[in-house]
Amino acid sequence: MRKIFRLFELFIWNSRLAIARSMEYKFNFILGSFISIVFSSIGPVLQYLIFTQTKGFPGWNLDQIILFQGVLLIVLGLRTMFFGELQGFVYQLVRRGDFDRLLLKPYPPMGIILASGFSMSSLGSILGGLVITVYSIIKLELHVGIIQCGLFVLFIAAGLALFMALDVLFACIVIILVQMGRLNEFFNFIARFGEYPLSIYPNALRLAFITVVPFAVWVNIPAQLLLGSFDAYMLYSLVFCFAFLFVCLKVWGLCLRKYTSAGG
Amino acid sequence: MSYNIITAENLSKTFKVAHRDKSGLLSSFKSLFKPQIKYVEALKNVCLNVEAGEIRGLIGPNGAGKSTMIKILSGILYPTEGNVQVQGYTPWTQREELVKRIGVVLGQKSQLWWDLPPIDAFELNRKMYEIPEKLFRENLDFFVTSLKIEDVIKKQVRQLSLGERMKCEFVAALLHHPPLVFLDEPTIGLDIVSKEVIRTFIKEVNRQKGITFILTTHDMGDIEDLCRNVSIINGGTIVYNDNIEKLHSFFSDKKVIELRFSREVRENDLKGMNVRAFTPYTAEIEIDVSAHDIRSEISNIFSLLPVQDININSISIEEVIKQIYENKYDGAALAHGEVLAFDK
Repeated sequence: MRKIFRLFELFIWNSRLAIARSMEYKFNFILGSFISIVFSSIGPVLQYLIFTQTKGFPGWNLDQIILFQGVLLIVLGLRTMFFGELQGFVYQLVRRGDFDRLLLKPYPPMGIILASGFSMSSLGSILGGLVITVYSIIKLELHVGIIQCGLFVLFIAAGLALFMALDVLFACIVIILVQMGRLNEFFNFIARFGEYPLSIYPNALRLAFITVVPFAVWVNIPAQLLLGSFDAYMLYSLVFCFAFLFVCLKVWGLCLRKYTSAGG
Repeated sequence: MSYNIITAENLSKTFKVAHRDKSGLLSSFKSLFKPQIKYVEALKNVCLNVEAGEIRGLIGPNGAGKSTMIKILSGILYPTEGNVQVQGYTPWTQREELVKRIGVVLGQKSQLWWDLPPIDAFELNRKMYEIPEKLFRENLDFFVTSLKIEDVIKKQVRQLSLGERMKCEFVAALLHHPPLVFLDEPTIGLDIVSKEVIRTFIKEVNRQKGITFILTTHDMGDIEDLCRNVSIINGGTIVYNDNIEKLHSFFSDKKVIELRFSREVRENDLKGMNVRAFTPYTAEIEIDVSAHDIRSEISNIFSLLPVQDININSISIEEVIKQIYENKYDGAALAHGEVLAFDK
């Protein structure tokens, strides 16, 4: 527990340093935030066009899909904020042999990696997502109680744990293979399955996204919770998320033994 | 009472390396489906003891196994075989505990943040190593004053010169007061003045704070200035492990006479002499003073050659080490005190 608390402290410190670094380049920070807001707004607009020009997504009306997009923006924004720099960071560390520096710190190296991914660039996306979500809640006249809010936060946290697990898995592969230039693209592509309503997938995939690869926790379940529906399958997803993270961390421990560093 | 801060026994490390015999696209395509694997023994049954309070030089040619050794001792790499105790810890199984008690300066890698002033990295280290505020302030003041970097630590790292950055790297590695510090080429790329400052600082910290240093370098000036004991590693094994003065003494019965001639001479004119280097206007002759009388040898040179200038030198430590690197004689025998013939 103490170790987790120390890692959290480290994350706060790293985040403060990342913010301080952003402030060193103020124009870059302002422009980055502006671009982030512009890009964030493309998703909902695109979904609106798809929805109005096609048959839409089964089981979802337009306002609900806009809520779905709002939650998606929040989740993607949080992912980028907490782990945005992480894949590039791991890749560079291992390739150049700088991973040694992490092993010289009195922390688990994965803890330092996870605590170092903070990025300010997605602030616009989170703010945009919040605005869209609140707008949709008002438009749909939803009554969001304290329990719903708590569950919403819990599943968002589980979603972040799942992103974390995928990043740990990415780091494992990089440690073993060192040079895997497009691996991050593959991981990001896989993760995109979680960005659409479950109802569009065949039953087998839908089951997989609730259990073994519980991508449903990212957007589907939090959006369903805001819409007022709760199902037992959601709890399975929650368990699978943390189980997946646990397994990935164990695999990481084994991979670390295979680390060869770089010549020097 | 002195004790061994490092004890390594029968330490071996084998790397599995993919390699290609031929260059070119076809060869790389083949290696994609059928990679050729080679096993490289980076360390072979290495034994090493280091006493607390020493400044130990760990030297060797490129690829000798120095970095692998340091990486195992600091818990970065798992060895293939062997036992190691560093301050009572097994580095690879008790890494997190051990690294609180060691410092590492990597001359070619920085632990500072490029966009921030070093003082921010020091503060982060304070958090990471849980350094008490009072100790942190005391150490910071001591190191900053010793290295005269009061203003430097407030500038962005990217604006610092290499010498200034290296001084800050030392502060970052020492703030948590580790009893053992590994220095991997700490003076690489530095000018003479900066090198001198760094060397003086290491000696001062070793003397005042009793910190043990393991120094890896290719600069013999560092070794001669700082180390009393030196371990030479070559081909994955320790080939010499003793006092540096002993290295000097191995060739104490050899002298090198440097000659400059007033007119051109032919190599044939030096017939019968042990010539190490020759040009028509200069020559280097080696004399074994245990077998020949140096006065008569020099008088012979003066009578045979048009000598304009003469210098008589002992064989440098750099030359001795070069001989060991080139495997021209057995360093293990040196460690047993055997005096070996100098080989050209």
